[in-house]
Amino acid sequence: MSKTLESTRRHFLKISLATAGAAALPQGFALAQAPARYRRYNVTSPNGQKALASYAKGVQAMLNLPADHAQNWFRNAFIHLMDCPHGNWWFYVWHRGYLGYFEQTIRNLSGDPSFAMPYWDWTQLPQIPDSMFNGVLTPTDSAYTRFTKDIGTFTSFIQPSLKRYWAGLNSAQRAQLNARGYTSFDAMWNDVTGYTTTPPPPHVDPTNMAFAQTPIARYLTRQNPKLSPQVTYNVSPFMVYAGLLPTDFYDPINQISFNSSMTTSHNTPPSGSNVFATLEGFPHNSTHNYIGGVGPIPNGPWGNMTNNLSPVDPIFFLHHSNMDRLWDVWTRKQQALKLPYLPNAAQRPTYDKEPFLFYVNSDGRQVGPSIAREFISTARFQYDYEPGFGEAVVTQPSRALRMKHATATVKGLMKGNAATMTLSASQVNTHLAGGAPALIALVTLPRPTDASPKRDFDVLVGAPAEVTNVDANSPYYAGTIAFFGGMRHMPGMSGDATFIVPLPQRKEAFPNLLAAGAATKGVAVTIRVVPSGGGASVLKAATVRAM
Amino acid sequence: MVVFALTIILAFVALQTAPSAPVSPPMAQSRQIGSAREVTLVLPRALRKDETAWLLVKVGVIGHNQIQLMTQDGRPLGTISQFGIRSGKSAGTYTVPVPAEALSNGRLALRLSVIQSGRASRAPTAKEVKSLRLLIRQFKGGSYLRQ
Repeated sequence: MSKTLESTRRHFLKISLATAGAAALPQGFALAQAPARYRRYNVTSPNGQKALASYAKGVQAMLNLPADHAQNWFRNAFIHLMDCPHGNWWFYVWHRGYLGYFEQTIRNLSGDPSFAMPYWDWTQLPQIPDSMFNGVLTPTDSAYTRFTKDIGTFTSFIQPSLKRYWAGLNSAQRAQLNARGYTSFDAMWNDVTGYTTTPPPPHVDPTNMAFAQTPIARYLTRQNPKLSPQVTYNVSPFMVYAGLLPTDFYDPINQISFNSSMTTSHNTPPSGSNVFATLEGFPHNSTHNYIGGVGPIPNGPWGNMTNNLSPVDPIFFLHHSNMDRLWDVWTRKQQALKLPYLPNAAQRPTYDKEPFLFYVNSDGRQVGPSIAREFISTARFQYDYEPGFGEAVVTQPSRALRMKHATATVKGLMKGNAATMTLSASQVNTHLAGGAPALIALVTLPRPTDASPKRDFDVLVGAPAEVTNVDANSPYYAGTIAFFGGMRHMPGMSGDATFIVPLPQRKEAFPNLLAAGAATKGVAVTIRVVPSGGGASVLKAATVRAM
Repeated sequence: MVVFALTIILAFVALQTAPSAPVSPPMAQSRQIGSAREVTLVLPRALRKDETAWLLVKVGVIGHNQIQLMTQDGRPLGTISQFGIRSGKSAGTYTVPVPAEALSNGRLALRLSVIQSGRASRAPTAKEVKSLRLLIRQFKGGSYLRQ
């Protein structure tokens, strides 16, 4: 019996160490609703990594489809270029529909019937998840070269089929494209090439070029994966909590709404009169741009994520999965507070009836006329989210109050594959008491090779040096990191991987807490990562944050 | 949402007036300091429990330049980076939450600079940052942003 319990606990911790927020938060937050059929996991969790393996298969399958196929990888990105709303109140709902159909496509093409799009919680992990540099999960991979080697190659591949597609558009679709400024195919294509006639003479403006050559398709690299300090602030706990704070879906008078401006059409290009709501204006925008190199690279051309052809970079869908998750968090917060979570009665007809005419379903067919109302609920695509950062606004606002004072990251000093860092005694005491902010560790370890028999690793906190094998009931046990083998087919499958692990809420894990001077000098904590079943630590780096 | 005070439309380079009352007399002090512009905005009163200060920044045509906002003592407030804006169009208005700790004696001492790709930062022009508004808002359930 005890073995069963131990195994169960290990399994529980294995799947729940995904995010600090998830593990630190009380359960039972979900409001009454039909159970979701699919769960979108944090990409850093074992389940998220498993989903990522299926995602890679799906991306490869979409790359393999001919340009005339509506589910071809690049054709799918053109749906976004031709139809995406930004800076207006259809931003969330349109992307929910786009993501939902895309998720179904990946489910079909990957052969994984349980696939759901994982999310990248940049508040918890302000760097591109390591796995997103593997194979086709980065647009700089050689698999893209035959399409995006240069603009001529890309034009030859995609333009003929796009022109045929354009010629078949109906009048309603054309009207929406006109509203967008795409009054002809060439007008749209100019945003791909950067060609412009203003100011004369006609020239190519590299800052307005949606196409990105393979080598520069993503600025951030495995060796340089971190968001800049400025972008890290834009995705910080304070900014995200503030973005979840407004209680109006949209209020044109008070201006601080959850959504950006109401406009005449979701295709109305943003202009000076648009008010960007906090989450769209800051985390969304700056993450997009920095991944593509806006900021560090002068004058363009930049990577895919900087423009409306951004779905060419597979990170797009993890980024928007997180944005969609935050909309879901906000909705449940409103419900918990018994506040409206939709436009008011006067606004509702306008919002609901907005036509979305460009989606493609999992069979590769045009969805046909659909309207915004169809995509308001996550039930439309039968999914929910593994809890991530921000969940506290739904469950315990007072807890979130304290959590906003998340401390700076404490980096571990590495010695012999063990990391030691000094935490404040008050933080440790708060953590042990089950309060917030809770302490989490970001641990980096080398990904096992294909031939390695060891694929599960236990995270030990505060364990004496001679302890190299623990069970799930050990006070030093923080969780198990499991690597799945499903991504072995991908080239470049190597390097390190970073995971988020909540620290144990056991005093034994912090043996220095009672040492003399701990209150003033801090509490030294040591973290190791050992193969499950015993062995030497393989840890390469670790940091601890309070969230 | 409860609006306790709609305050201060403050001039940035050129003083502007508020489109909606009540409006406090202009109290902004704006000056260029090196590669940044410094503006001090004054709240009409101290923040009360559960209230949050918000900065509305109306931005003109900035292309892929970015507007960095921080306090004059170096605390970050956010970086405006436009996305989805067609070439040559204004970037829109951005809603910036202001941490209570960034306020001192009811004032927000703001420093703005333009981050240009590959070049040194500089002070924004009046065409790039058109106006600044400092608002106070209270939201139900919003105690988590104020102690």
